[in-house]
Amino acid sequence: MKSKILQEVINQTPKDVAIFVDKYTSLVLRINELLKEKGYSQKTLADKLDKKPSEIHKWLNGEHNFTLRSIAKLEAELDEILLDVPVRKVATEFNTSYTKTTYILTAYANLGNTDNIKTPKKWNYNSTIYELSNVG
Amino acid sequence: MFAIEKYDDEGLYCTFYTVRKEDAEFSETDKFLNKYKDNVKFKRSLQELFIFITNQIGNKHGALEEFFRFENNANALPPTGKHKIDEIYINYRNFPLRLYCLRISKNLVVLFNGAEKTSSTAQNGKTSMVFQEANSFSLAILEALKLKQIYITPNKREFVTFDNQDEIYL
Repeated sequence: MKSKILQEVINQTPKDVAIFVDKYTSLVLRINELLKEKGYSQKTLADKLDKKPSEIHKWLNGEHNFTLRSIAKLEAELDEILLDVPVRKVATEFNTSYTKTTYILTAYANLGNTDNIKTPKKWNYNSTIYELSNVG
Repeated sequence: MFAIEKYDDEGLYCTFYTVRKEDAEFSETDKFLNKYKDNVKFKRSLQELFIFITNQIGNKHGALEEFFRFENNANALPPTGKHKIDEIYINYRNFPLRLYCLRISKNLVVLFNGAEKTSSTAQNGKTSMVFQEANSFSLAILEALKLKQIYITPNKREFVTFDNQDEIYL
């Protein structure tokens, strides 16, 4: 069950708001996780990035929007990927002399060299059978 | 006297309760929503806050401690000494609104009322009265848990009374 008024507010919330909150939360949780793993304090990170500790504090406490540049700096300093963009790969398989099936694979995980994808985290694919045109 | 009632139990990881004062038409959290949901100045912030509560806390991560800011109030230290009155705030945005809550565990949170943040501390500014009330509600709930008037179920997602009443009044 859910409060009706809460449900009304949720229903009226634009999709981009949910996406933004999801990405922002995931990003900050991941950064905090990495700071703990590496034993960095916010001050340490600030020193490494040549920024004021107050600025790092603002990043990690939501008072300052991340830019792509600031994310790039964090990735460089922490040596970890924070944001990733799905990779799309097209593969074609010939079923017979007359038909082929085309797969469009989208990998949502950073798998490095996509020429050798073995265990993708998630696939989207469509399968279309094309008649080859040069069959007499 | 007030009632403790479920507010949102649809999340995979956390159940939210709220409180309703005796004879009140709305729960304390619904009062907060009603106050700001149609206010252009706060509408977006309110949406972000409750999407965060339902999607991120309720359905994705649970009530992680880092999502909450503890309002240090010596007067409000509960009998158990383990819980404090928490101001729930989205840790990653500078929100103009404060919503008070009692974080029982990663899987159980009681939401109260809140208000516009006009001061750096909860005790001052527009949030002071709702903060005081949140303190009172929290102390009563924690005292009831201590005295075993109410329990938390084994799955840690619900409150029940010692005699399994349908409604919980404190």
